[in-house]
Amino acid sequence: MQNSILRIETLTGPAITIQDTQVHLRSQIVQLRFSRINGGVIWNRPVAVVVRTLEGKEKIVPIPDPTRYAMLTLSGLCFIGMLLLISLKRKQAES
Amino acid sequence: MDEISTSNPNSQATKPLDPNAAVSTVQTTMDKFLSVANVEAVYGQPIREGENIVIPAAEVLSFAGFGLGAGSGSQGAGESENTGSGSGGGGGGRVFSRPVAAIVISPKGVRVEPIVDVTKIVLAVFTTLGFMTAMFTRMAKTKPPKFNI
Repeated sequence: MQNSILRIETLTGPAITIQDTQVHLRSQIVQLRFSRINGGVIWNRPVAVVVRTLEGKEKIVPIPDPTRYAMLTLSGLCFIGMLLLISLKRKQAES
Repeated sequence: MDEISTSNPNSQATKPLDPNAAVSTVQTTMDKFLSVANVEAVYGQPIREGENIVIPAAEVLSFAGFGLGAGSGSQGAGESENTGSGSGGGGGGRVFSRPVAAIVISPKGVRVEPIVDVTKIVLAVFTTLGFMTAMFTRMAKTKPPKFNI
């Protein structure tokens, strides 16, 4: 596992007990290891909070990241805009 | 303990090198780099505020890399001619962190309050607009190719 180049794993932290509720924190890691250049990249982000009650009910509360969604939307818009401009230019050249 | 000389064979300066220190430095750096890959790196310590408990959550991105090298050479043919050897290494890394949300645990339940980085979004909007404008201007300036049929 440690020698693999790409590792994607969801980790769960120890339980935090508050009154009759247990809270587990979950994170996801994406790890890239480059053995030839002795280095790597680790991206660790919070994913969800797991809430367990004494009755055994489990509820998963996801952690949204609006900043990342906005960045991804902007990147997508930029890419689509670029494709549109290229296609417009090609149409102009053809006519 | 090894002796290490500079790459210049005429230089008389020698510097003792402790290989264990270099290995230890690399090991410490890698340990710090790998410590990012656990849950505690993402979630902060719970903060109690009255009946509520707040847990800050952040996204962590870590880069690290290092390299080591060694070499030796000789000048001339005789036994007393200059010989030299050298070794070195280097490395670097960076850790980026960005707050993502605050988890509020109250007697009423658990809720997640997302943290929006407005500055980052505004900067990204301006960058996108700038890129689009620059591309549009450049495309408008270039003449379309002529097709001779």
